[in-house]
Amino acid sequence: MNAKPKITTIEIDDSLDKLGDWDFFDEKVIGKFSGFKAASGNILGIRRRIIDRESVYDEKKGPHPHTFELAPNGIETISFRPMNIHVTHAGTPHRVPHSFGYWHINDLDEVYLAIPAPEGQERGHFVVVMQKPAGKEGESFAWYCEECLTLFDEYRFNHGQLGLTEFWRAEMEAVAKHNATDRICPECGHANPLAYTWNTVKDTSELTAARLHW
Amino acid sequence: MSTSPQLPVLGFDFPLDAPNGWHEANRYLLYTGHFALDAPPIALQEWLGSGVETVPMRERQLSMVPAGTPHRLTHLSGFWRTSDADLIVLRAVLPEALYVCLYVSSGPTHHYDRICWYCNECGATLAPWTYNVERYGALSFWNKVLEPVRAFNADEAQRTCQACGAVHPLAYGFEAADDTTEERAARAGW
Repeated sequence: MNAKPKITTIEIDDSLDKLGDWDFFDEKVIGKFSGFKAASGNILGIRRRIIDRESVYDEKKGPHPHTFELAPNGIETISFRPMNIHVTHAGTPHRVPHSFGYWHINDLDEVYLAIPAPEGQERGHFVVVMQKPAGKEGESFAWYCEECLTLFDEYRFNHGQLGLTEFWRAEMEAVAKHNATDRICPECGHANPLAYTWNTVKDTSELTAARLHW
Repeated sequence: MSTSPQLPVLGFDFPLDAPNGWHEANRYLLYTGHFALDAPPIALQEWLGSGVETVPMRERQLSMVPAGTPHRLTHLSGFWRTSDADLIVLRAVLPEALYVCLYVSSGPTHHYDRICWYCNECGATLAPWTYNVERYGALSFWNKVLEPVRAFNADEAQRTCQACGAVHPLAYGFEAADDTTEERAARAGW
């Protein structure tokens, strides 16, 4: 006969187990997710943002009022509302203006949720969840002409094969390569602006201007 | 001509204050629920072979149940579920309610969801039931699960432990709105 079930304290059995991170919102753990981090078969990003019932504010990048998604009929503006789960479907080009200067095309769904700050606090929780790519699954950094929406530059990142640790290097490389081109649309001749990365740390004055522009 | 409803081309939105329920969003299955602050506590429990581990509850909490780990939520699911898919459990207390979001991370490796009960005295497995998610879909599990729950309740032999003879208390399904009087009492109890 087995021992009688007992109540014990939980620990998560993965690479973060030394931190006892049964709660990813724990202040000792949450910093691990400030970029993106794999946890079992998912990838999570958790940011502390100034969030109330109506809006999300990023202290480095400003307000986060909407996301753009590229639909069959053109660009759709998705208003970003706290207390609402938004799913960007796999394969949908999307970007957050002033946050990252490229269209991100993920082979996997991305699930967003902003929760207002607890009472008496300023910062809430902004959570992004996506599945961990496997095999040939990956994502692209892409640029569509801002005038005519022609796809004129794209860099593929084989996430499933290279892993999450290579993502930020790939992003930086794609942005640098794109910025080294003339960014002239082959269809309409429009000169498109510079691209910029998600992380603001390495922004030059030119990239800061680009971030402000689009 | 197909009579299937037209699905939106782009992303879905699920307000947390909508009626409690599951939503299918491509590979993710999402549950949004809100509960009175004085309702019985919804705590995540895992079964790790030697017993029940209850995750301490915080007002803000994000926990991961890796695929293959038997788990349940007190007063919300009156059965132990084991899935091929990870489950993410988000809990947020706001002034008006407790919000609970569940993310089932489905996809090509999500073949089965299983449920069972564990004997409260000796931990033996009772009445295991397997659902073919690959064939019927991840969402339909949550509708179908009431059938084995009611079969378990209707048959004391299923609830009686073969190892030690203890009788398991009555179970309940996931949707409180579907509860019978007996199931409602069971939900209040565990």
